[in-house]
Amino acid sequence: MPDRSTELTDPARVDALVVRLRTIEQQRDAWRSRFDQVTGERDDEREAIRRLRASGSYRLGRTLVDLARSPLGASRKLVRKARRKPAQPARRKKVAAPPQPTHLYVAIGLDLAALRDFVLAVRRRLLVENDHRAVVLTDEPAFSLLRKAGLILEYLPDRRTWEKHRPDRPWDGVLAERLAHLSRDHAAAQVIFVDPDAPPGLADLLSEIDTTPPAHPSLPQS
Amino acid sequence: MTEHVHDVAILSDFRYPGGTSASIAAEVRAQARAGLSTVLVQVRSPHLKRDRPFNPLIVELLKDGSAHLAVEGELVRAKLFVLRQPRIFTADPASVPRVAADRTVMVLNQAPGDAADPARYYDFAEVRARIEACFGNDVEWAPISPQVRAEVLRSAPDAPLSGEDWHEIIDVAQWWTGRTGPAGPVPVIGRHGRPDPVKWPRTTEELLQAYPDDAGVRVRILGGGELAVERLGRRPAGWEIVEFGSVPPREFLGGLDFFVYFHDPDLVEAFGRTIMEAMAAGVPVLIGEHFRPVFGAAALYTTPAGVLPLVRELHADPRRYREIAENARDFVEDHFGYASHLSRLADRGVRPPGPGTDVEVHRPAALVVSRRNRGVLMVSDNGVGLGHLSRLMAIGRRLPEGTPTVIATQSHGASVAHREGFLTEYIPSRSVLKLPRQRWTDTLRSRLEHLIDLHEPAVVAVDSVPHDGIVAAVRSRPDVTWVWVRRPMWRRDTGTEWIERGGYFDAILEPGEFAAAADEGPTVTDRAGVHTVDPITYLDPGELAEPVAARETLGLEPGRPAALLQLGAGNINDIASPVARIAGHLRAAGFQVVLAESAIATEPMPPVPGTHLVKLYPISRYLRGLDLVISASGYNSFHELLAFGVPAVFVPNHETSLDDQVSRARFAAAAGAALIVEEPDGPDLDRVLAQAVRADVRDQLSRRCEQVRPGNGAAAAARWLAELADRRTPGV
Repeated sequence: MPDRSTELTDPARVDALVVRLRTIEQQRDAWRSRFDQVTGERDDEREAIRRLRASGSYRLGRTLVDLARSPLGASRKLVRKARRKPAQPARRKKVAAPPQPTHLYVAIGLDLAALRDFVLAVRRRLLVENDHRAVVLTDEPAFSLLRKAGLILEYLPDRRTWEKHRPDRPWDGVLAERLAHLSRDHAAAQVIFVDPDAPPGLADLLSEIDTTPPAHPSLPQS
Repeated sequence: MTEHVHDVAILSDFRYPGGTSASIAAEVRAQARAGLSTVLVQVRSPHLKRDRPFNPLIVELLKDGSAHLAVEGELVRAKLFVLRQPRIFTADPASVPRVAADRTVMVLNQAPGDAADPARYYDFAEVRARIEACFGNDVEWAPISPQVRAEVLRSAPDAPLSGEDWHEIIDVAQWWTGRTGPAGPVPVIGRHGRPDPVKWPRTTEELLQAYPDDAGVRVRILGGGELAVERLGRRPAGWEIVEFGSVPPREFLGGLDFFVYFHDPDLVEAFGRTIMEAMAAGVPVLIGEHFRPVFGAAALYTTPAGVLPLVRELHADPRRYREIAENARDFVEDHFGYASHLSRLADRGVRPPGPGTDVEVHRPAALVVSRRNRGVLMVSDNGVGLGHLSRLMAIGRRLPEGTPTVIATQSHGASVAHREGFLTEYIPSRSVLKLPRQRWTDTLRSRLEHLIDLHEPAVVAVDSVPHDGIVAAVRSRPDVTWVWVRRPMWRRDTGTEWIERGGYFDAILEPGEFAAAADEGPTVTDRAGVHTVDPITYLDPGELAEPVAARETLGLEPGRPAALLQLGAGNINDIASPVARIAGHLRAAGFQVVLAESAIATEPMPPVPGTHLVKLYPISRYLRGLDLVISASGYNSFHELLAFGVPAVFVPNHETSLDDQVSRARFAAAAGAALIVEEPDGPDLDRVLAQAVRADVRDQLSRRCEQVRPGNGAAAAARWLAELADRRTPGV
C-alpha cells in the first residue's frame, strides 16, 4: 500500500482535497438538476412528436404513402378532406433585408461633452430614420462612457498622446491610414468629417432627409 | 441623461403616416409658438411592423428645433406627459421609457372598436393595465371626441374618463383662404381623406346622393376616389379624382364650394379632422347628424339625400354662404384653435414663460460634411471588466524603460489604460459590432494586422483565449513573437478547445495562482514548455498608500472600522441584491461601508443606504485603509487581497465561462486565508459576515495571509517578454 502520510500532512494538499470534496458535492447537485431537466426535455420531445403528427407536412407525407399503397382508398379520403377544409394559402418566404450602408463619422477633436452631444444627435437621427449604420471615430479616450448610446465607436489616440509615444510617425498619416482601414472594415458608404468647433446637432443631421412638405398633413386617425 | 425639465413630453409612435402624427405636430407647433418646450418619446407601435421613417411633419419639428427627441434609455423630465394612440400599448413595449412627470394624460384618439366589434382595435382594460404598469396609476384618460368617449364606455363602462375631451387643434390662420363666396357658377362639392373603403357610404344609392352624378354640380375627390369608382362600377362624368398626396389639402380645399363627408355606417370616426380643416379653410361643411356633438352649430347636418338640395340652396344665396363659412371658422378658432390647447395645458400646470424668461431653443450649427526599438503589443479581450487588461498593464508598466508598449484592447477600459499612460488602441468586440462569426474573425485578424504593421512590435502578448481571428493573425504575421498570457484556474472540463490552440503561439506565459493545488482545469496538464511566474498583481506592496492617506482618499472617518464591497463589474451577474444585504449587515456591526464602482461604469450604481461610492483605479492602492473587503474572487482582486494581507470575504461569481472563481475562493477559505460566501442569497451570508466583523477573526486572517502571501510575478513576466523582444530586434 502506498504511503500517503506525506501527502496528507501537506497543508496545501489537504486544502485542495477540501475544495475537491465541495466540488464533487456540487457536481452531484448539478447531476440531480440535470436529471430533472432531461425529464422535462423528454416530455417536451413527446409533445413535439404529437404536434408533428398533427402538422400539415406530416399529414401530406402520410397521404402520399397511403396513395402509393392504396391509390383508390387514398384518393377518396383526399376528396373528402378537400371538401371539408379549404386549402391554406402558401406562406410567403421571408427575404433578408439588404445590409444598411455604413456612415463613418470622423469626430476628432471633440471633448467628452461634445462627443456625447454628437453621438446622441446621431442616435436621435437614426431613431427618426434608421437608414444607416453609424460608426464614430473619436480621439477622446473616455469614449467608452458612451458605449450605451448604441453606435459603434472607434478610437484613435489623440495627436498629443501619439506624438509623445511615437514622434517618429506623423499622426496625420496615421489618421489617414486608420480612415482607409476603417472604411474598408466597415464597408463605409460615406465618410463624414465633423467640425470640432461646430459639431452638428439633430437638425443638421436631418437635413439630408427629404422632408418636402407633406401633401397630406390632415389624414384622419391612423 | 439630461436633467432639463421640459414643459411637455409626448409619447407616441412618430412613424404614423396619418392623423396621429398630424395632431402631435399641431400641438408641438402650438407649444413652440408659446415658448413651451417639448420632448418626443418614441415607442414602436406593435401594429406598425414594417420599418419606416418618422412622419415628415415630425421630422420638420425636429429639424427646426420645435421639439427635442429623447434617445432610448434617456431619463426624460417634464411637467406634463402626454401619451397618444392607445394601440401602441396593445403589447408590452420593448423597453419602458423613463419619464418623470408631474401629470400624465393618455389621449384616446381612436375608439377601441366599431359598430360591429367594440374591441376591434384594442381592449381598453388591457391597455389601461399596461399603461398603469409602465407609468403608474395616476393617469388622466382623455378621449378626443364624444364619439370615442361613447365607444370607450361601450366597451369598458367603468373607464375613468376625464370630464373634458382632449380635442384636436388647428392653426386657423394657416388654413383660412379668405374666400367670400362660391368660386364659380357651378357648385363644386368634394372631400379629402385617407383612401379607405369605410370612409365611403356603403350603398351606391347613398354614394351618388352625397356625391351626385349631376350636370348641375361638380365633384372633386382627394384620396380614395378610385374606391368609390370601383363601388359604383363606373366613373360619373362630373367627378374629378385627384391622386392622394398630389395636392396639399389646403390648396385642394381652396377649389371646393362645399365639403361633403358621409361614410360607412359602421365606422366610428374618432374626430373628423378633415371636417375641421374644411371649416378652418372657409368651406361650408355638410355632414351627418352624428358629428353634431363635435361641431355644434358650425356645420350643416343632413343626410346623403339632402345634400343636393342644400348645396343648390346655399349656392344661390351668397350672403348665407358667407355667414356659414365665417361662423364655422370662428367656431373652429374658439373651440379648436391653438389658444384652446394652451388653455388645457395651463389647467394641467404648464404655462408659457413670462416676459424675460429664457426659452431653450435648439438650433445647432451646420454640418461640415523607421527604424526604432521594437516593443510589445499587448492584446486583451473582454468587455466591461478590467481583469485581462489589468494583468497586461501590470506587466506593461514593468517593461524596461524605452520599450515601446502599446495596449490594444476590446475592453471598455481602454480609457483606463490611456490614463495609466499607455499608448492605447481599441478593437470593438464582436458583441459591439454584432458580426457573424466569420466576419468577426476577418475583422479581428485585419485589426491585429493593421496594429502590427503600425506599431511594429517584436512581441505580441495576448491575454485572451485564441479566437479564430487571433489565430489567423498569428499565421499571417510570423515575423513577430506571439505569446499567449494564459491565466490558469479554468473550470473543470471547460476550454480544452482553446488549449489545443496553444501550439499556434511561440510561447505561453502563465501567471501563478495561489489556489493552484485546487486547479482542475485543462491548463494543469498543459504545462510543458510554459513559462510560469508568480501571481501577477498590478501593484507591489510598496506602492500602496499608507492607511491614513488611503482612508482620506476613500472618504472614511478615522476611528471606525471600514469595509469595501467589490463584487465585480456587474456585467456577468446581478450584483445589486447581495450588496444591500451585505451593506446592511456591516453597518449594523458599526462599519463604514464603501462600494467600489467600476472605473468605467457609465451609470452610477443604485444608491445603497448608509454607503458611499468610490470610483478609483487601481482601488488596490487604498486597501491598507480598510479593515475588511467583501469581494468577488476574480484573479486580480483575489491575489491583491491575499498579497496585501487584507481580511477578505470572497463571494465567488458562479457564472464566469472559464475562470473557476468558486474553487479559488474555496481554497483560500480552506487555507484559512479568507472567508467564503458561496450562496449570497442564503443564510450563509449572515453567518459568514457575523464572523468577518469580529476583530479577532480578521486579525487571524491577516496573519494567515502574511504566512502564505504570494509574490508578484509581474516584473519577472516583463523581463521575460523584454528578452523575447530583444531577440527579435536586430542589433540588440
